[in-house]
Amino acid sequence: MNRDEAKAILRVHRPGHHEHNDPELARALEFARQDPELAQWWAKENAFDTSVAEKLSHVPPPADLRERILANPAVGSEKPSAATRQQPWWRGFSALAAALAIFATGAFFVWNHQPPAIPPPTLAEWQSGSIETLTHILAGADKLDVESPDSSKLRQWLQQVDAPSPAALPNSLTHLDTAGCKTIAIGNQRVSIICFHTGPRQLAHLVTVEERSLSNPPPEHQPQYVRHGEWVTASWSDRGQSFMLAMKGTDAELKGLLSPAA
Amino acid sequence: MKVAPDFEQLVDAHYAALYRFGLSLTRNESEASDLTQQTFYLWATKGHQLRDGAQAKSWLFTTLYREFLGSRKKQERFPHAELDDIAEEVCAETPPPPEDFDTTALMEAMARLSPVFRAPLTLFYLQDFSYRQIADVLEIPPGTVMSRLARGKAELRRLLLEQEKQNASRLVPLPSLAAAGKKHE
Repeated sequence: MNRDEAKAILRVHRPGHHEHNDPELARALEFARQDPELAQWWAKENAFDTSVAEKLSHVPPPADLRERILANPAVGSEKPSAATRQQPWWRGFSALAAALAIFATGAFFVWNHQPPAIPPPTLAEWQSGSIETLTHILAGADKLDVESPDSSKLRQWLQQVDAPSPAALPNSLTHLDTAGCKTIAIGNQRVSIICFHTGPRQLAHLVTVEERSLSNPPPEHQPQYVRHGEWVTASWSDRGQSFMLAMKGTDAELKGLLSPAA
Repeated sequence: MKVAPDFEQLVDAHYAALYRFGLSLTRNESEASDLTQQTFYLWATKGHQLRDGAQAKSWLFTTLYREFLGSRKKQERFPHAELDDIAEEVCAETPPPPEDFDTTALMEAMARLSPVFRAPLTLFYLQDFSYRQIADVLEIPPGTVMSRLARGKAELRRLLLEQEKQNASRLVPLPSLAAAGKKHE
């Protein structure tokens, strides 16, 4: 075995997950013990593999996926299949009746043990949840998912990850550079945030959610201005989506961003 | 006597990893969720025939992969035949690993990988799969898995390094965000 052959074998083994009865691996490991250059190469390879595996394990499944799997009615029918041999006709009826009884019992069980559905968030919950995330981002306690100065790229990325992507931007925002975007979940509903540079050291944040995801969405085309501490916000709905533009500043600054002349 | 695993325990043990595998194959969250649910549905209706719980994990991943291939059959031909061409394009020498990358960069790079590399690589990094088990799940020879893993890892590094260079020129540093946040404080 030479160094390249040893590399080829070591490369396909994860650190700590060795097949101990693999004689080729044992030889490659022995080779690495005697060859410092190979040992160094494998240490780097292991570090990269560990880093990738660790990051991959951080990709979260949807919050309700487990419940959706367990709520499947087929779970209640987890029984061996019926024997295939010929049976008298009346056995078929009794088997059918038994199956119906089992199904009814299973359905009743599943119905009564389903977790209560999470109600859609209210407008106020959506606003305060988004402001909380924005505060964390600005404080450096949370990070943007993607960073780019190009809003069209961010909107494209949001579409790719099935997050709400604003169908249209307010006129004043279309020519602004962006810092990046983030997706979050509020009350089980996906929400996206795009951060715009409105001036030197100043940002405005457009929060988007599907209109049907809110129990009381804001009115169509009529921004509602609400102050949340140091944040000022304007919320409205348009073409099936609800938006909130938020910034740290004055009402006049925010209204200036949304005025048709801006 | 080997005991068949309890359904809920089985879901808890594998649904997250199955979802991640589905996500790497489809690059779409809702499709990955559907594949995961369909896989457990098939287990609930057929999987009980497998009495050996130790084989359950392999069965689940194989089933998800088959379901994925089935769903893609009508849309596009899965490019097994193109592997040799791709192999020619991959550098013989593995590039050095990138210095730093985050989960988003990794997922983007994985998404850009050819499916022939993405599937074995995801299983490889889902911790417990040996290359022989990957061969079982994907129903290809172990030697093919070895070469796809080697080429896939080289390609993944190349893509991560490429992204690292691109991001260095276009990213807005986070400190500017923090500074903007402090303006009104």
